[in-house]
Amino acid sequence: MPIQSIPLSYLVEQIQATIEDSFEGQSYWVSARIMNVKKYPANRRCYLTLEEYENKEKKAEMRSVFWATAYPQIEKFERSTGQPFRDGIEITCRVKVRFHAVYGLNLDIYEIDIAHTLGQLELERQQTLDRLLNENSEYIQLVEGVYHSYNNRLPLPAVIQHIALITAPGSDGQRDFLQELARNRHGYSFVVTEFLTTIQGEQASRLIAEQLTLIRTSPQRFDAVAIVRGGGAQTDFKCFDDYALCRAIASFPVPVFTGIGHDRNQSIADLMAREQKTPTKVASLFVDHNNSFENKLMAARERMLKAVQRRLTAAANQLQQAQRIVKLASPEAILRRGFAIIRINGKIVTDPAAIHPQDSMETQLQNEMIESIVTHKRNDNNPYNL
Amino acid sequence: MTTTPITYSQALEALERVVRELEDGALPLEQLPEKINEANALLALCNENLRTISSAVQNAITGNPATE
Repeated sequence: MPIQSIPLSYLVEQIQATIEDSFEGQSYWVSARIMNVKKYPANRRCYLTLEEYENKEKKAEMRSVFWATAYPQIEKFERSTGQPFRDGIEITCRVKVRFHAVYGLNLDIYEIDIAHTLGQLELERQQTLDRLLNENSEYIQLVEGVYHSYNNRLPLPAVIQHIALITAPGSDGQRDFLQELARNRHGYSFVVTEFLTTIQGEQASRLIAEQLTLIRTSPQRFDAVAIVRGGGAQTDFKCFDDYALCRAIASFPVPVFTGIGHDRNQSIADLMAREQKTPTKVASLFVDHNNSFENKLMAARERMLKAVQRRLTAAANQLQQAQRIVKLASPEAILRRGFAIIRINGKIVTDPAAIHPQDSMETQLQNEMIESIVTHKRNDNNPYNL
Repeated sequence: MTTTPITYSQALEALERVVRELEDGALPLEQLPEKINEANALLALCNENLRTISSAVQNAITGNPATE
């Protein structure tokens, strides 16, 4: 007996009817990992699979799609979480079941629970911070709510001039940083050695850590390390929360400055280093730092000039004083005050005992010379009772 | 670290030491010129080093290796 068959479309219609009976008009919140993400921003569509794993074994998988009306949810997700909507992320989303005779079974995604993802991210971040604290207590401590790392407590050199720059080649961050240094209004010079690498994406944390190793082992000496990025989308900062990278920064022997253009919140790398929001701000901090050194030099110079001035004035005063004393002690000054000089035989007499009656002597007053003969002498015990 | 024989912080320390000596007033007058010359030399050294490393940033911008 020949086999009785029905057209495929008939069966498919039955399946469709059954599915619609069960799922028509209903939506469900599901938690799953997104994989095979293909975004078409121009068409405002995104195709992907929702997958669930248990102990690395796949338990479920469904083809899924964001249509144009739901596409803004992806953009909102990226803006809010600071990470791109890409493979491997766990999300919670609201879906409807849809069956198409040609394309088969699909889930249409209408909404993403962004708060859930943010909570997950914050949880992961906190776990990383706790691990950094627990496993690296020699490098990292939490003091009154502030993360103190060995690195961000390193004293800065008096002048920051030799800089190791970690950035992406040709990036806006690289350009902004170098231009800010080059155009500084004080005319300071900087020696920048670039360590170029990718600083976005899954490999970024490992690549940045490798650059830090290169800097640490370089024969060149550096005053500071700058890690900058900028110009890209406000997403993909996750590499700066990576445990190994943050640990490398926390224990790095040269002060590290971050300018990674993060307007959402601080990454863990920011907490372990010295954070400036943008590449330009890192560069201008270096300029200001050197300017404050130069101000100290100028202040010392001012003090020196004042001290020298004081010293010279004091010396001049001393000299004047000495001149006055010399003048007062001069014979002319003494004679003007009414004293006289007595000479016998041309010699000045300083001992009255050398004068005898009948001696011929000369008495010199201010303008006159008196010649006389001594007639007699007597004692006067109070000669200044004038 | 710098390429100068003494570091910037050593230069500042030396300068401040000279200034303290001058402020102290105990220095014989005839040593004043020597001390002023010493301070001026330190100032000139710092000033020069802060500004005249051969345009290393420009080199970085144009892709040439930065040299000291």
